[in-house]
Amino acid sequence: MIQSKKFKLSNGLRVVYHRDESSPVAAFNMLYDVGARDENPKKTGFAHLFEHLMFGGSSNIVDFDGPLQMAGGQSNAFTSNDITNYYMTLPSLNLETAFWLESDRLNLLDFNQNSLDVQRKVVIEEFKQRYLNQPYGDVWLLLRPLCYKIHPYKWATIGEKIQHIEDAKIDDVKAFFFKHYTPRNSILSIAADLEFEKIQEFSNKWFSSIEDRNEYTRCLSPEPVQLEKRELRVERNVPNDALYIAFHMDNRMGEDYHVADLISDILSRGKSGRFYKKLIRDNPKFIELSAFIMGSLDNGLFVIAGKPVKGTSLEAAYDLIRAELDLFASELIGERELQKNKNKIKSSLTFQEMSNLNKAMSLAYYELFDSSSGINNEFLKYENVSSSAIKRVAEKLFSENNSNILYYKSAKDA
Amino acid sequence: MLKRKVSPPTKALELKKIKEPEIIPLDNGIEVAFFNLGSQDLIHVELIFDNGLTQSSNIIIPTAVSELFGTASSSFGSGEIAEKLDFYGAFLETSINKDIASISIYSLTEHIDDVLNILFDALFNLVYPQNDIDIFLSNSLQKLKSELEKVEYVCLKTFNQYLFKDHLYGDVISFSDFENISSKQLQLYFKSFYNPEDVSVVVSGKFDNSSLYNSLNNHLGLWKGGSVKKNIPSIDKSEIFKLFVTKTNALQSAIRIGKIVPVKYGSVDYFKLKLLNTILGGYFGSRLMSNLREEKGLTYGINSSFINYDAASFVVISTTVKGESTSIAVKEIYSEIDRLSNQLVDNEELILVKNYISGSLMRTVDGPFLIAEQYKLLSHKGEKLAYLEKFNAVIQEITSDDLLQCAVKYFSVDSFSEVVVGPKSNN
Repeated sequence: MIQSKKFKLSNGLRVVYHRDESSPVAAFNMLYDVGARDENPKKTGFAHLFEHLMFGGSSNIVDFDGPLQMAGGQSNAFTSNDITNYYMTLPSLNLETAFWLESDRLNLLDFNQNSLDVQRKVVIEEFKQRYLNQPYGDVWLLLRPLCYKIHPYKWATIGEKIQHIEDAKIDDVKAFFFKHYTPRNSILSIAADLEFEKIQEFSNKWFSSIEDRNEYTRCLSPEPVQLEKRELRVERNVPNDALYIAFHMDNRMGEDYHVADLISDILSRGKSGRFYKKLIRDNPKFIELSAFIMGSLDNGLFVIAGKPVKGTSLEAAYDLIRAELDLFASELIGERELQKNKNKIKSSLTFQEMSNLNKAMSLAYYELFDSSSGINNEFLKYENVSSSAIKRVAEKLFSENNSNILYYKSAKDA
Repeated sequence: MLKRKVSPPTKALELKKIKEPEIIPLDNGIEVAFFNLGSQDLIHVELIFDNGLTQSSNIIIPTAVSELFGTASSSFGSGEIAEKLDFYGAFLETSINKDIASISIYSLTEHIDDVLNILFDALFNLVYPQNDIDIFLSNSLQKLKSELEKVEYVCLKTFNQYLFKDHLYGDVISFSDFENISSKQLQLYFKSFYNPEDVSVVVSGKFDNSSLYNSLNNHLGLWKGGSVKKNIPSIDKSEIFKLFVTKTNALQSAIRIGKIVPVKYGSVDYFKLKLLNTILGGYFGSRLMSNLREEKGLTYGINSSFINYDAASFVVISTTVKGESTSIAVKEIYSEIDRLSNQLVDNEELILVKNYISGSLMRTVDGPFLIAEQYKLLSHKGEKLAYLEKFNAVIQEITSDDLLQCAVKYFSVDSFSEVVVGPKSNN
């Protein structure tokens, strides 16, 4: 159970607060409701590049990290297809420093050509390091456009190509800031050991004078229902073949979201999951095999990723996985197996409540798509999943016409 | 009027005194440290063995022993232990590094008795089925081949191999190490190195002290056996090496630059080097990050680590850079190392880094699990939690002059070794 209080400033900024008296370290988390899905298709990777620029100084503060480190703090951020999330951890007694820093960059970023020039290079190196210079690094650059034809989930957060990052201009930076970095479009969440009134006071002092900028209304074309199986074959210089199968699934708010998540656990959570037991241990046809969901706010993906052992072709590997998926339709899952997976989720959710940073991040995220208190209903949503719901959702999810298959072949085998 | 240009006043950081754990020995002398400080109904029980990878000349053996722990026992077949633990929502985690092996259980407090019974069965009636071993070996070998495609991995392995030439820390792996490992060998290794003389136990979370103690004492307290560990010879220097490994078609080069430093854990120079290393490359605002990333955009990230194994301490800088920028990056790294010996650290930077370190220390003891983790690392070194306060206090007293002398003593540029793995040598 995570208790929280919230309020809204007149400029639209939402603030969520959780008090934790046991920890001297506060977490200060700012979520901006903007991600790669909001990018111009000709300027992809921009939300993430912008995240880097947010550390390049604001109109009144030249150096973002220095004063924070001086106060004993640390900061970082991440960008996803849905959101951009910035966080700081620092001693509760210096929490006001975080308010000062975060509010100044929301108030007005320093649009600085030098910072853009440098961060473009840094992000291009990040692109290479994570996506191009790693075995299997380009999988998501291939799989996304295979699965999504219309919706902007068709490109990865790093961007569709390096060219887009090279082309970013300072005017794009300004426009993006005024369009998306507005109080109305952001959620501040804090987990700390301070009186609630103190949080209200700091929030008002530092954030309330920031102008309420124009509201951004998201208007994305939904991905049309997929009508036939799609396949892509590539050959790469990797030591092992790999197979990826992605199915379209419900969004984070959807009724079947938790069911699909449980299905992915049933298949591949730990060494008692079906994949490990059956296809890695008893009939060892895979080196690795896992199932996971992307958890995105618009309709997302259920993904299966595996590397077959030498001597098992990608086609044979596909058939083995397919047989496992078909089992959901022909057999109702047993109560004990279902309960086991629910128990595991219960304990994982409890473990996630251990740190202030996790709590602050989760509260902001729930506030975005549901309500900060929704975090406390999460387990119930899993608990209520029945074996017949598993069967119903699996049948729909794993329909062949809903599948996108990437055969990633090792060129060394050729 | 709001003063946006000026930082709100910050308070000096005081590291709160952390209470030492209650330590109660079991009947056979095994020490158990209790940190009963949680607010959530969770518990972590960790068995720590003072024996690491260095106890075998083939590190695949201790790795397999650790990874496959809990696969089966004489009462439960392959996979049944995992099935039971999963049913209780518990997590079994094992790990092994150069000096320590560990077996951990995380559980909801309500299930801890059942979960511990499963753990003790795994511990005392352990079986390594050959089939599971064979699968582990062939899959690990394939994963290793995949790792060898990464410039970062090849750089790491090559660097360690040369830094610790002819020493067990070099942990050179060859493909043949994965062959012919038998259940018997693993069983024997387990029996020799996971024994009651080399173990200590740390419990953290929220629980009933006496019932947990009884549960541990009724099982672990009856455990008999002796230590056969071998001492690892200390190593305080290495020959200087400069190597380039060509990885055709790579887009980026991985770079490692470092050296063994002859300092003892907890000595005065040890603390100075901790601070010096942080300034150089130990945090986001470090000199290496500022220069190579924030000024020149050569890399996504660069860091410098000061690592202390039981038998050696060393400094290593590592980064991955654009292939064409390799020589400029290497040059800049040496110039930052050199600057430490030639120029006093100014006061503002010094205070900032000291505060950063104090804040980091606070973060490392945030909550019962993290406190237990620190305790584990410290007690392996023969220290108590009070060491953290001492660490902080000593760091705060270090002056710019101290750092300059320390840099002159340990950080002369020509004493460093380097490995570059990348597309082609353009020197």
